[in-house]
Amino acid sequence: MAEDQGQRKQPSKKQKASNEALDQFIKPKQSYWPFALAASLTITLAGVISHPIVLWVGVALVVVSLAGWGLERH
Amino acid sequence: MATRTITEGVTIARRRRLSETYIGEWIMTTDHKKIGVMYIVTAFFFFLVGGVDALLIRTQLAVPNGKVLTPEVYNQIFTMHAVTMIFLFIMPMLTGLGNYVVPLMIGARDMAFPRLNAFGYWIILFGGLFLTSSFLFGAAPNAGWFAYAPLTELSGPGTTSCGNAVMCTPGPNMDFWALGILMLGISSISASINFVVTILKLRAPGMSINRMPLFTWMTLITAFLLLFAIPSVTMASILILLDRHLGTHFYQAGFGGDPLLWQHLFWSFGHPEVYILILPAFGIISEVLPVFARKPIFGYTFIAWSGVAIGFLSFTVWAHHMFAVGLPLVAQAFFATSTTLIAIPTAVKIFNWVGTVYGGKLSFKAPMLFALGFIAMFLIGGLNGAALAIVPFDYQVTDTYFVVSHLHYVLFGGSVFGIFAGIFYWFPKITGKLLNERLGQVQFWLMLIGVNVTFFPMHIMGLLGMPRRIYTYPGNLGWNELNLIATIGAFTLGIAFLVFLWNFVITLRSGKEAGTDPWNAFTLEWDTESPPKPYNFLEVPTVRSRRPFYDKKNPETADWKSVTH
Repeated sequence: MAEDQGQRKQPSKKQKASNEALDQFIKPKQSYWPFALAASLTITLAGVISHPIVLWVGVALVVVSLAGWGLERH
Repeated sequence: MATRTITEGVTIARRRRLSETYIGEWIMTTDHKKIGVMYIVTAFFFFLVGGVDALLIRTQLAVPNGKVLTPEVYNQIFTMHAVTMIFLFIMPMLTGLGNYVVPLMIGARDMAFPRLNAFGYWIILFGGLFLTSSFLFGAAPNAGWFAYAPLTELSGPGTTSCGNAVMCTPGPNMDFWALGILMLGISSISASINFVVTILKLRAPGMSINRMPLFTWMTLITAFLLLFAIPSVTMASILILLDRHLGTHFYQAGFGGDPLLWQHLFWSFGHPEVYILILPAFGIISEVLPVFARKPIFGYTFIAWSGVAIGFLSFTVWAHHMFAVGLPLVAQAFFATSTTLIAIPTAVKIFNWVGTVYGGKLSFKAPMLFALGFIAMFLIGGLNGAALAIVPFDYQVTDTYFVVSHLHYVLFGGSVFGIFAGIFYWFPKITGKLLNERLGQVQFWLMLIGVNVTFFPMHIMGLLGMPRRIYTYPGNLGWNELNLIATIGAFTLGIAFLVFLWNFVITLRSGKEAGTDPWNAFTLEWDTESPPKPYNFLEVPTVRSRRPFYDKKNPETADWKSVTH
């Protein structure tokens, strides 16, 4: 079995490139908006128990994150 | 700095994008497998935090008149122990395993909503850090994980402060609790929507609902439970925040409010929550047992539909947590009956698991040991739970250590054993390496001994009248030895977890390569590389039975040739 694996052909350059292309094509697009929205919500809720300024900064960031998420090309 | 070759000999340098850095790749990922790994790692971090809380509690209670913690800190520690273990360990761990495994099991390339999936993870991480950071301000939640009102009100009726026998919680402690729970609820709802849509819409061709792996079944039921249970605790939290900060009086009897409203809202979430914590573990056990008994699962349909029955019934039992508040007799009879009823589908599952093991060619590898340990421990938790459904008995032991024993047999003996069965089973798929078997066995036996030494004596403590949540106790009540034994058991559990951590580290460094299918398993996740490629399957598989990968490996004896389902 191990020998079989050892004798298995290495993928050619062309094959490798097509696998990488498949990776890129199929895998979901990366995005930092989920992280940004979660962070913004946390700041907003922290503002509830700390200071109104923190709260409003959080709200503004939530709005920006939602807009960014909505307008992102995917 | 990244480079890009335009033509031979011409290379330009540019600043690397965030997504091309190691950290950026994780922050921006929407791949269900990476998100699953992040959930699992985060859950283990919080398991460590909650475990340290537990050891502090047990150290304080090891001997009478203990002085390890102050009463104020003790209240914070026991509250945060429960909050951490329930919301920040078991829930994210089961979500993480589901995230990683469910799309692979059903032949999908990812979850239905990858960005929502990432959002669900980040909000639970930030929510967890938000809750835990409360320790830094000396203001961790301190009124129990159930946060009963009016104890959690900011001030007493008609006053602006606590004191003078007015029960309330000044300071931001319970604000941390309410806001943290809101965040964790948002995470749960995001994950649940994703699971429901993924499982209902993205299954491979041929995978009818009747051919879905049982872990997928249980994850689907859990997702529905969360969708219906979370709004209740979210509403309760918003009302307590309004009471605390905007002068409303939803829970204050002095102003026409009702403290019992809190208990109804909380427990109509809280009891389904118990099944949210255990149903995915049922699913894990239903995957592990057939593989290590070399048999198809016994009574697939019964296991799947008893899960649905548990899901429905879990919404009808909440007030068994409230027998002692003075419910009308009819209500007591109803909730005692429904609580007893829910034992039936649970017993159906146990019967089917035993039927699966019976007559099988058993292999006692670590995942199987944890699965068998799960059945035994969960059975104890189920039996003492059924005892608590009997109203007169419940009156006697309510709010005593008997209840602590019951819930830990269910959640530690059940959920945590199930989680470790899943971790040992799927670790090779996730990392490509096999966890050390010998260390796994050592960990299992330490955990089995530890869980019984810790929690069995608590039955007796409860029967002897030791109340829950007490900070210390005098030495003349007959509880001393039992408490000391429980503390020794807790430290045994701590050692078991250290063994696991050691196993985890050495396996990642120099573990045995697992290959794609180390357990000769039956379901589709094993038909991928270990770890799987980002796209999971080069070609989406076609399913013809409940054991599609078994069929592929054994075309002559494929299930679809002999079984119709």
